[in-house]
Amino acid sequence: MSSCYVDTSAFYAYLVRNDRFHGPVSELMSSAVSEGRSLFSSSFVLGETLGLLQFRHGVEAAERFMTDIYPLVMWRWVDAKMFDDVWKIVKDSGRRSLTVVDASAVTCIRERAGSVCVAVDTDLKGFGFDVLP
Amino acid sequence: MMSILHHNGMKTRLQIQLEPEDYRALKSWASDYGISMSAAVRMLIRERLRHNDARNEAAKRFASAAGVLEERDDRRDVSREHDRYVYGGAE
Repeated sequence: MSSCYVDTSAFYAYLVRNDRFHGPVSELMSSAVSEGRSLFSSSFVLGETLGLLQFRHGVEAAERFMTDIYPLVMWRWVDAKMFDDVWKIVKDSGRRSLTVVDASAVTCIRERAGSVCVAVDTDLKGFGFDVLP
Repeated sequence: MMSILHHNGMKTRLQIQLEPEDYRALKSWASDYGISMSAAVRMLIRERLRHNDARNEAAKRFASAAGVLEERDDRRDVSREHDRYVYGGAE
């Protein structure tokens, strides 16, 4: 049973009912949880998601995330060593659109071989792991 | 193969034998997280076997949050285009 890395884009689509990707993301994440799969993500994604929710929907939305989503997710806290790896991925990619948050996904998924990535962000394709839906 | 050595009231000491490949993987994983191998094993056990009330409660709360928010403008691509909203270019 593979673990699922969840990106900012997927958390957002899961929460927002009229987002274009809410349907497939919600279905996928609901199935993963009911099957007992582990959801994991990075502390960079946590910060980015909270910022996006605050900016678009207010502090209450960020609080809802902390109450209802945060407890079920295994958070990989980015430390100095991991950040070195993350920054190398960004630098080597040479892509303006690949942020350190995206690169933290690549590092996290490499740590857990066989994991899949749940994201609608196209920046995470091409790193050798499955990106769903 | 594993054996239980003793129980000191709070924690049970468990000795296990690992395949070299599994040992290296565990050691590397623990190092990445900056924790001991014992802590890594405890973390993996909790993660894998957390089918208790706390996990079920967290899963229920997670399920209840699906679709709880609604965009109040006509933007439907914020998830895919979130970088533009966070870092600029989506004014």
